[in-house]
Amino acid sequence: MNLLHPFIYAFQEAMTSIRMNKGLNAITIGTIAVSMTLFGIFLLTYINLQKAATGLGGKIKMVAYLKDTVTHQQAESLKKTIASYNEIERFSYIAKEEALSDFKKKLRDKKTILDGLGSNPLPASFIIEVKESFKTLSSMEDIARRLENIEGVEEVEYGREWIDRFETLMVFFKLGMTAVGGVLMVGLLFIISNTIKLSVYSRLDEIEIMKLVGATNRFIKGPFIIEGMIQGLLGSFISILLLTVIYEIFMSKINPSLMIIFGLSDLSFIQPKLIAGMVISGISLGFIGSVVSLGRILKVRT
Amino acid sequence: MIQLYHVHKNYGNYQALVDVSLKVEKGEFLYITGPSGAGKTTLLNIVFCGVKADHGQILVGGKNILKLNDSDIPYYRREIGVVFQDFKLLPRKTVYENIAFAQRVIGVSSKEIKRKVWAALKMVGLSHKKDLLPPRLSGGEQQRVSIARALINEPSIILADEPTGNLDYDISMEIMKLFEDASAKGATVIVATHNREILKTFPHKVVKLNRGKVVEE
Ligand SMILES: Nc1ncnc2c1ncn2[C@@H]1O[C@H](COP(=O)(O)OP(=O)(O)O)[C@@H](O)[C@H]1O
Ligand SMILES: [Mg+2]
Repeated sequence: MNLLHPFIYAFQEAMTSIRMNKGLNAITIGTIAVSMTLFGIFLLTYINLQKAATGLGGKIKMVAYLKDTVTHQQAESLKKTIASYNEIERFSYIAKEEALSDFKKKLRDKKTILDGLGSNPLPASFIIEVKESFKTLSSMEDIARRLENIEGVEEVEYGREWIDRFETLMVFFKLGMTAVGGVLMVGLLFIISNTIKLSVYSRLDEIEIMKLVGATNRFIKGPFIIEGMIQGLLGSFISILLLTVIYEIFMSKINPSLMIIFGLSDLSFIQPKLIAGMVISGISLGFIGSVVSLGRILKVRT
Repeated sequence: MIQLYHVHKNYGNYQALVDVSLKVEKGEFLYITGPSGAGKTTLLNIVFCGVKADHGQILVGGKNILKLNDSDIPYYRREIGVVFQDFKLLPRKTVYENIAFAQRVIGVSSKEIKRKVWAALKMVGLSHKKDLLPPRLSGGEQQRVSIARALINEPSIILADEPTGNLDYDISMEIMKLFEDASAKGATVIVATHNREILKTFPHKVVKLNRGKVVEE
């Protein structure tokens, strides 16, 4: 016997079943498509916010101000200490004089107001850029605390509030997304399993005879499982199409200057990995939905 | 071939079979009779592994069928041909497709199916009606289709549950003739019936049930 035969049979039967219940299948596939599109919009928003955050985060610098008593020699040894932090991407040293001349440059024609100062009031500092993976509130806090404990460091500043707010926002976003995703998933499983159940009921006479003549459960279930998987597959395909259309419309409507503010050259759209993820989730939903609905129907003996 | 020892089956509180023991030799032809509700269908179903006995032992071809796993049952059933009073044909499939369907779903190749279906149709004398839908056939013809489907794998056991229940005398005799032929070829046949004319025309061993008990052998 050809090993592929049961698979081909199941596929043909699934297609027959879909053709027989066209309307119901169309509704199910449409629901899968719309739900996955909704979730996709959430996900893309999240991904792009995160991308914007790293864009902005790149501009967040940590500044460690040094005490006035720190000598050049001490500053040199501080450089070595800071260089030994593996959380730090790069840093630069701004000496007191440099700080003052930078400040004067910024003041331009008003720089005469500084003439009355006898000494340089500006501290020397290190401008530190933390590595991407450490740009979270807790690691920034941790790094800042450790820097502050170093002899000669007066104070460390970083965009604490900004990071705090953004992190809270993202946590809520993630929570919301998980909730919406969970609800959609349960809803889809329910819809798919109901469609498959109706499909099973419309073929109960065939199933009865299949059992009588000794068809295996796998052979009986196969077509229905494939039917569910086809629904999931088509649903995810359509949702990818819908997302593409929505993305194009959004890009044509959005004000380019807004993008620049967020430091985004363009919005991330679904990458191959995400497309694969959507297709796989669609197929898995179809698989699980149909397996769930087949559970009890196909009991062999009472 | 088939041995039942002290088999009990309850549906809730209702005792459908009570301490039933019987033995059918290989190639033997056995009638199970008794009034409606006596437990005939339940008995056949137990042999077919459609319902599970509550107590007792059932050996079929040396196998203890109560010990079969759910996944073994389909293969066990391929050794058994079943026929029912209501034929159980698919109304939207042709005669040919009805018989072929039963082969296809156990994974027989199309080429093999064609050969076997033709042979089966010829055996029951319905080759010329192969393209008709079952509702267009007479009751006797429909039963012959269902017998063709049951016999197509040359099963070693045939179970028939009131196969002539809806049929006239002449037609009933034709149908019984098909079971006689199968029996003559070596199949073990059990027919549940309460049709006395059949018992007279084709006399064989009889087990009589009443309220789930064997009352006569
Ligand atoms: N699935 C079931 N649930 C409850 N009672 C049943 C079931 N099947 C059969 N019975 C009862 O068991 C008894 C025997 O039924 P059955 O074996 O069909 O008898 P027969 O075939 O001799 O008419 C009947 O009284 C019937 O109502
Ligand atoms: Mg009965």
